[in-house]
Amino acid sequence: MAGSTLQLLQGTLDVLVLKALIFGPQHGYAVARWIRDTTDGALEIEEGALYTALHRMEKRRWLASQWGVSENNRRAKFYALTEEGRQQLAVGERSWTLYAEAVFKVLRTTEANA
Amino acid sequence: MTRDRFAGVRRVLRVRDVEGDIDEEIAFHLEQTVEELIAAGVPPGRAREEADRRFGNRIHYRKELTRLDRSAATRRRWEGWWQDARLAARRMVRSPGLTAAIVLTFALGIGANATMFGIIDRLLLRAPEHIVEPGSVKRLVSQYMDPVSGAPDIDVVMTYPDFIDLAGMGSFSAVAGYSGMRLTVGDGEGARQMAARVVTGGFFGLLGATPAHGRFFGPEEDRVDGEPVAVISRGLWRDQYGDDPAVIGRTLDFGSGPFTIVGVAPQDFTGVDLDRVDVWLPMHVALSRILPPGTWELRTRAGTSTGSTWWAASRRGCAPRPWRRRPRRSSATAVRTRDRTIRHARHRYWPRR
Repeated sequence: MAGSTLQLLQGTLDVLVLKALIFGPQHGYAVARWIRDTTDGALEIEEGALYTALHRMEKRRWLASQWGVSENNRRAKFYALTEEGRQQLAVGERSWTLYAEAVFKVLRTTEANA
Repeated sequence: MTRDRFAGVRRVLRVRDVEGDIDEEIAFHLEQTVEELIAAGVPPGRAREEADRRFGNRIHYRKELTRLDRSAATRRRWEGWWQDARLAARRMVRSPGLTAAIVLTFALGIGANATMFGIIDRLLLRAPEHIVEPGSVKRLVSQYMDPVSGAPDIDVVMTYPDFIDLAGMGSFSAVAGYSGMRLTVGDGEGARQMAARVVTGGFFGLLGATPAHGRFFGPEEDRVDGEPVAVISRGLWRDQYGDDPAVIGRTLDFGSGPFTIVGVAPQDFTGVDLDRVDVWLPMHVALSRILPPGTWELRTRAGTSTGSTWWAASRRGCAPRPWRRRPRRSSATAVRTRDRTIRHARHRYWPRR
């Protein structure tokens, strides 16, 4: 079961990262911070894994990267969604919502309904 | 993202450093985290620990990121080449005129170089055709002191007595002399000029060539009172006689009696020089019958005797008196046939100082 859990986590992380970039290009630190802030720190994600996801998706051409300057004037690598990345986000969002709803339905079921 | 015009160039040069980029990216992330924690009131030492903890095993992730980026770079490179190739093909199809011009330019360039190499090879590098052992056939030249400047010089042309001396000395396995000239054959409307070589009897034996048809003549026929015989070139046999085997026995008239054709030289045989030859005649017979009085150039070739080096042969060549007595001549030197050709070309194109 460990394998499938990892698979799920990896897929989830991809969706989160893609979503973080929908508002415009960001460097990795801003992505990590946005996820943490948005989830109120509920998800314990190793930031190294987050960078792995960024680079993997860049290799797949879901993301494009470019070196730029951060808010505090430092050189940073910025990631932006490509058209393919946008499509992947839509697909990921839909399947994750279906998945979550299905799990939810099961968990919300009371004995009376069964 | 704007289209990078120099992406192709950069792709070829591969200036980007994958690991350097990853280190810089991680360092930026950790510093930002530490700054954020310090701003939130965490002491610097603790902030650094916390940043490291949040990132996870840095060595592991660094390795993982490097692997990802390298494989991505490899993939991009191949895709880049493929795109370049497709773009090039599309452009070529779109402008066939330009493509044709470029192809033609290449073709001409390659063709011109190949032709030039062929000429150089023929002129300078390769020995003339049909010489069985080109390495052992050499030119004999006479060395002398220039009477005016006193500088040593060589002469490729010999006097007939010089030649007779050399041939009689026994230093070489064979010595042959030859001279080129243009002779008129026939008379009236049928008269034509031929490139002729008068050669001493040992000439064909020295080179070791095999006739294409009939036979060559030998030393026993090259006498003042010898029979007038002639060997014609393969080209002449084809052009004038239509490859007719009955050409043997036909005659060539150089104005003072007929010379009987006894053989045909092999294809492209030109003796030791490279210019075209139509007919070879025995020197002594030609001397007594058709050559006008006066002087003509006599060039000499020699073959090594077995077990004797060229140096020894030519040294021995110096010894006999008859030709050392002649004031201009001091010694004879053997020069390889190929060297001769090179020097010949040099003399033609780079005049002597």
